[in-house]
Amino acid sequence: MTVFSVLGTTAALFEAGSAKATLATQQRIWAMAATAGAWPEVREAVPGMNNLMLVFTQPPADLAVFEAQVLACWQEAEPLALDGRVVELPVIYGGEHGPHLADVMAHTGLDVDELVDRHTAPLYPVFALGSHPGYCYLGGMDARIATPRRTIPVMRIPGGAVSIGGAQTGVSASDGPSGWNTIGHTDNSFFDPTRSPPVLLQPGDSIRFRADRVIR
Amino acid sequence: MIEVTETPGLATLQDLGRHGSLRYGVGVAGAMDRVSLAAGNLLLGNEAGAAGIEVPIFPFAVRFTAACRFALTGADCAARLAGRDLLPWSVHAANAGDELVLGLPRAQSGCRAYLVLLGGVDVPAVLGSRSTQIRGAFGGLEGRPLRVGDRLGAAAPSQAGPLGIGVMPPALTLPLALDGLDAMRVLPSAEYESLTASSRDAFWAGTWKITAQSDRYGYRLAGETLAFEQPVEMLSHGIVPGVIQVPPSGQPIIQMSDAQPSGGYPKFGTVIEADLWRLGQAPVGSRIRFIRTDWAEALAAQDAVQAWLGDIQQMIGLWSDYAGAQR
Amino acid sequence: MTPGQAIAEFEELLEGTSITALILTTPIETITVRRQSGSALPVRPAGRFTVTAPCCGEFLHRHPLQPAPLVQIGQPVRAGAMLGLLRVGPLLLQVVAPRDGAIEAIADDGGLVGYGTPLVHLVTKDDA
Repeated sequence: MTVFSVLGTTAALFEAGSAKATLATQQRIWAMAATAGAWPEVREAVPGMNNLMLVFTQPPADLAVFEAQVLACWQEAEPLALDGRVVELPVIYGGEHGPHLADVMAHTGLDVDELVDRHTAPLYPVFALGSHPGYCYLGGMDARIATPRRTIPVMRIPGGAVSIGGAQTGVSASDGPSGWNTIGHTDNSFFDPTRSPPVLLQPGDSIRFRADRVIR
Repeated sequence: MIEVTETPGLATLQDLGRHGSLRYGVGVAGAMDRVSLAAGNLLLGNEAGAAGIEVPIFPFAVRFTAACRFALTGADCAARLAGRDLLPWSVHAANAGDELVLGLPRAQSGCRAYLVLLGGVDVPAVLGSRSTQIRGAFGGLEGRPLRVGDRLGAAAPSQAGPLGIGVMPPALTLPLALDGLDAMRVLPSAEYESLTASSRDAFWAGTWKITAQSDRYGYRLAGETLAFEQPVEMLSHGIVPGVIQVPPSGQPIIQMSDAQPSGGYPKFGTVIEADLWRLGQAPVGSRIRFIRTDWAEALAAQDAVQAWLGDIQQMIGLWSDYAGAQR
Repeated sequence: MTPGQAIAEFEELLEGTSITALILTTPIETITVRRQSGSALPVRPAGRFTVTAPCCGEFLHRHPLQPAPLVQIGQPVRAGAMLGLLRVGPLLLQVVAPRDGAIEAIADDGGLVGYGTPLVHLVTKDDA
């Protein structure tokens, strides 16, 4: 069941109603973003995980009319299979840059080799960007290595940290706090504000992790 | 041209925010009290969105290394220029060598001051804005708070407003209070109906304290514990400043200017854009109330703020022409 | 009529005549315009100066955010000192002392004034 709501007078939020985010739904969100992002009321269309935030240029006077327009846009949205590229990220697993690798092993009952195999096997599609500049929300992680977020977040995890939070995996694009389990590190630059676009990866691209080293 | 001579920390360059890059994970940043920043710019004859200095901790001081016209808005911080008391919310002219000192804000006058220069602070725009983006360290001055010794220049102004003027502060012209406390209007979120009835009632009826764990990222509030009828699991979704999240602790967090652009906590509602400046001026330790509003009222509130700024711009233009003709 | 305006009018009247001086006496001040050889320099009224409203508005003794009035009766002020504020819509126009002097009288706080309304009477030293 889809949900339309507002975030104050600043933005509208459309949720496709998924229990878990799926790529098929996300492809329709991308299509919806492309259409709605061009509306005069919309300053920017911001995909999330199977949802879409529409930031207003000016809030519409008639919200009911706008809501109907948004729902119609969703109904008409065909999956937009964005032709993205695959970026392979070399990762050093464990050691000082993977402080929580042991916790993930303990939670999943897997040894380090199987954990790394299951983390490096999939192709992870980029669903959306958010959280901090250049950060990618990824789909496709193997449920077997899911590990709950930490009860006490770490105040400063460096950029390049490869982490698992619940059923998702991701890579920090810059230094900052994190409640996820950090299992490794990659050196790539995900964000450069002087470039256009400023991000390495966009929705439709995919990430593959490659184990360069595993520090036991 | 100014040189920072005293700063206890967290003073940053801000404009009206960095828009259009949320889809790259870049939050909006910008002044916590955009109304004060805009009004200060209009007083000087700048574009409303010229970059200024947001000062949240005092005392703060700069020395002018060249003659410069400036304005101070936001909290009335008993400012002194070359030893002379300055009126708040007014245009002033500094001579080379003058030191400007911002002291502790007077009671009930807010908690953030804005120093704006004629022409606007001259730093490169990054992704369309001069606001400071702390995570990622770009925008503003090298993406960081100001330090003693930093030198900032003003861009050449395309025009200048008159001297000898000030404006009535919005706290007096756009008052909003409930039971003697500053109040903010809120539009409920999609998860509002999932809260327990007593949580919803407690939110509107209660007073909320802005705890010391509050800053440009978010305001952590202390008050009644809020709860949902059933646990709510949310997928990560876009958020904006003003969004009130309800984390597992049950104590709300209002996302503020440096909020990350997405979040996964369920939301109570969102403080309307027209009232975000009130939050920006609510000090740590103060107590606030929330008022439930609807779409039409929220739009009217936005119109009122725009009209107030429009009036200022128009009146300054008229006065400038009039005063010029009198010479 | 402000002293400035009166002087300008008197200069016009004197133009082309053989009159050497005009003296206007009012309850507030005495204006003397005396012809000198060459140009007709206006002679300032001795001892008093009135600051008038540059337009209509509400005259305020203090800034709305601050408790204390800007000046008191009897207070000596320097040129450029802030004497009061004139509120015109959202604007607060600064009423400043054009010269050194002491505050002799001040219009009511919160009073509505028009263009040219006297706001502050200054007692000044005699001009050279």
